[in-house]
Amino acid sequence: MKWLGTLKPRLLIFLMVLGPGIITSFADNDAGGVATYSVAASQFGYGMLTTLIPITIVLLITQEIGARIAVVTGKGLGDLIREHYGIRISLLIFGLLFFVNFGVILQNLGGLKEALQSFNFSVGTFLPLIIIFLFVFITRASYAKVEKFFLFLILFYVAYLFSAILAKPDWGLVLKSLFVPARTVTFDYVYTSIAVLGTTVTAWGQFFINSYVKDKKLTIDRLHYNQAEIYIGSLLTNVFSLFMMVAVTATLFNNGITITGAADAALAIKPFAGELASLLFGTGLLVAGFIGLAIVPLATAYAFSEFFGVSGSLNETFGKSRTFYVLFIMQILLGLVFILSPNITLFNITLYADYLNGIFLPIILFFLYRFANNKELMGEHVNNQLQNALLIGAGVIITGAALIGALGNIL
Amino acid sequence: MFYFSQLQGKKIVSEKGNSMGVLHDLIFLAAEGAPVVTKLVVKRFSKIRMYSIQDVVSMSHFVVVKHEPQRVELADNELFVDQNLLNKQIIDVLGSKIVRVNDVAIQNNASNYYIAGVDIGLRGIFRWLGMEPLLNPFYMFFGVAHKPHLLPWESIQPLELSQGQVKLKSKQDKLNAIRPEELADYLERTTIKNVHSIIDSLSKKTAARVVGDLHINYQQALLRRLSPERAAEILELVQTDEAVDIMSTMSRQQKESILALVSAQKRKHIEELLRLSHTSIGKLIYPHVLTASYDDTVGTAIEKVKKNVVEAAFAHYVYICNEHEELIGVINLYDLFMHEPRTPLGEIMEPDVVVINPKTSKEMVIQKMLRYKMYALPVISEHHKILGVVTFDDVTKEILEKL
Repeated sequence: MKWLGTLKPRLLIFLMVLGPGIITSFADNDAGGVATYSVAASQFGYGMLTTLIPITIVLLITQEIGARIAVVTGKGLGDLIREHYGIRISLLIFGLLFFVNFGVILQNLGGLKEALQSFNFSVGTFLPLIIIFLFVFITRASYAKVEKFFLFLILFYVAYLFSAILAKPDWGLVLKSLFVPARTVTFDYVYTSIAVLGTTVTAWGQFFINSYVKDKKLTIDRLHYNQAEIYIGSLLTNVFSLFMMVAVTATLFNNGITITGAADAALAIKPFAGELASLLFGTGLLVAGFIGLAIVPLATAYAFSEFFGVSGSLNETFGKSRTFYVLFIMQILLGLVFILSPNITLFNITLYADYLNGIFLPIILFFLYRFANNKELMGEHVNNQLQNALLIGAGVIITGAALIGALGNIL
Repeated sequence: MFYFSQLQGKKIVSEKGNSMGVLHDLIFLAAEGAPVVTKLVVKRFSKIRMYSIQDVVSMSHFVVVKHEPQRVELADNELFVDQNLLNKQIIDVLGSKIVRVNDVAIQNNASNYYIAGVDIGLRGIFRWLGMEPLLNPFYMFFGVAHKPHLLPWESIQPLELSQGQVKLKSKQDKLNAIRPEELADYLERTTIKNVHSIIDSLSKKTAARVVGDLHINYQQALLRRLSPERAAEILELVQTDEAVDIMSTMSRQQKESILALVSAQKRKHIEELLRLSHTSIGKLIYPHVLTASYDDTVGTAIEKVKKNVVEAAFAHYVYICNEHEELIGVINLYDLFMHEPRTPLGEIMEPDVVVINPKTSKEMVIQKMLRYKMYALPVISEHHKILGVVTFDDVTKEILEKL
């Protein structure tokens, strides 16, 4: 009964802490994520579902470590790298981050463009409008309001649940496929699994969770709530990835139709699951693209202000955090130029962004490992052996993945 | 003058030409006065050694030291340039903002080397890459000043230094000179442990103001870390409505143990507000109001205003109560000063008081303030007793945050 008595304050604290974990993990399923998951499911069907549990574990462990570092030290990953490795390394890492993130921004702009096209909206009109709205909103609104808006947007991911139901899948088989791997594991299958992992666990996600937790000003006595929130976020994201893959498998894979992108998937499932399912899938893509377009440039802008000591917080006005906000919008505008020019194909961009991320991520995990095990920084909150084992495991898998990916590309 | 970036990694040789390793770091005295460089840290085959600056013969292309110099140890009040200052965030006291140290400038006079200041500009970054000259054409092109962006040592405050064993005497003054909002802003970027130690080193009054400006999460975490005695001390000094906010997520037990140590009057106010904090404007009620009786004179009221101007931050109005402590009128400061000191308040008070109760919505409060052009409105209980005031800035702040 005593537990019941403290339930209300606990719930209250949880709601105060709510945000970073859920928003970051859902943003991992951005437009690029939706595309990768859709293509993977259209090629391998339920066989791809086996990857979800390991992905959830990797995401959960890396995000938790990042957030814990931010809560304990009050610093973002950029701050820490600068303070421990100096200017030269900082410049290098920021340059890479900027480059990799720019690829991801292009993916999201591309996703938005495709989604708009699938609804027959004019890209030339709506895309700039979305960007203007985004900029005004991000610069004007406080942290709390931006966060609420993202949490609201995330509700739209439920669209995937409904499109999965409308696709009338064999739920028994879905459940079984989660745990039992496919009978024949081909090189292509491994390769695609890696792409799926690479789209979910990202370098920018690691930077973003740190900065965002820091900007929320969470303190150490809320650490457990924060951890719980991150676990829930990672879990939920992958539940929705499951629905996404189920919707595609039950319609396209089972009918032998392959696709090359997410908007394709939205259109292609129409004959099998109906108009509504198609509409929902498209809506999901639109929201995913929007969230990605907001979060990824924010991650770069946060990192820049940490690395180079300029003011950067969602709580600050445009005047006080000018560099932060200008950098945010410049990336998007630069991306817009690329996306609207007709000579660039999106497919190549998606691939390049995924590879770069795959190569970059192990470096970030290395820093994560160093900081999370630094007793001076973390005190009693250093990694335990299980966390270290899982982190190293994730690093090895991702590095291996990146190498195999590069190899596959050469061969 | 030269820079640490030009020095780090330089070869160290002895007078007889033996290689001693490379320069890894410098040590300086961070007490009062100019920060004098006292030692060098030399790295050789990944071994770290420290030598006294007295043994340095010259510093140019190489650093030349005496033959077989004595090894020395770190002393009190000494800090490392690379480890404790470079790349760290510091407060620019004059500019009142937080910046990152890109490079450290070192000056030498006849007898000493000392830290002249820190470079926080773009040049500092480019210097590390050996590309500083590349900047010149750009600066010329845009016609902007191309001097390094240097902050003198006197106007910076590296807060993380306080984590070490260094106790700076001048630190206190510098810290107290920084605007509390800025200091709070900085503290939010360090660990709660550091916040704790800084708050401890401040005067009680500054501490309370800084705590008042901290983010609510930090306030709560901090108060939980402090001993109930110290927590009570701080709560005593922050405004009552803030104190209530800070305590809102504490367990009943914690609240009681802290409240037991707070002065009776403050406790009464806090408890009252805690009770009211569930209502819509409850949290905004500020309990310190100036009250007077209707047969008091203007003169005594003015005296009262003068005496309480600090405590009752909103001394714009004096509220008049009858013997049953019921609110019967209000006088604004302007009217007070326009009348003869001997006039009884009852004669000049405005008997038609615009009031609100704890259940009035914030929107209604704002509307009333705007309609009647009032900076603060008195809150009354159902028995017509005055509970406190709600001020314009508190309500607008609250509403702004919801936008």
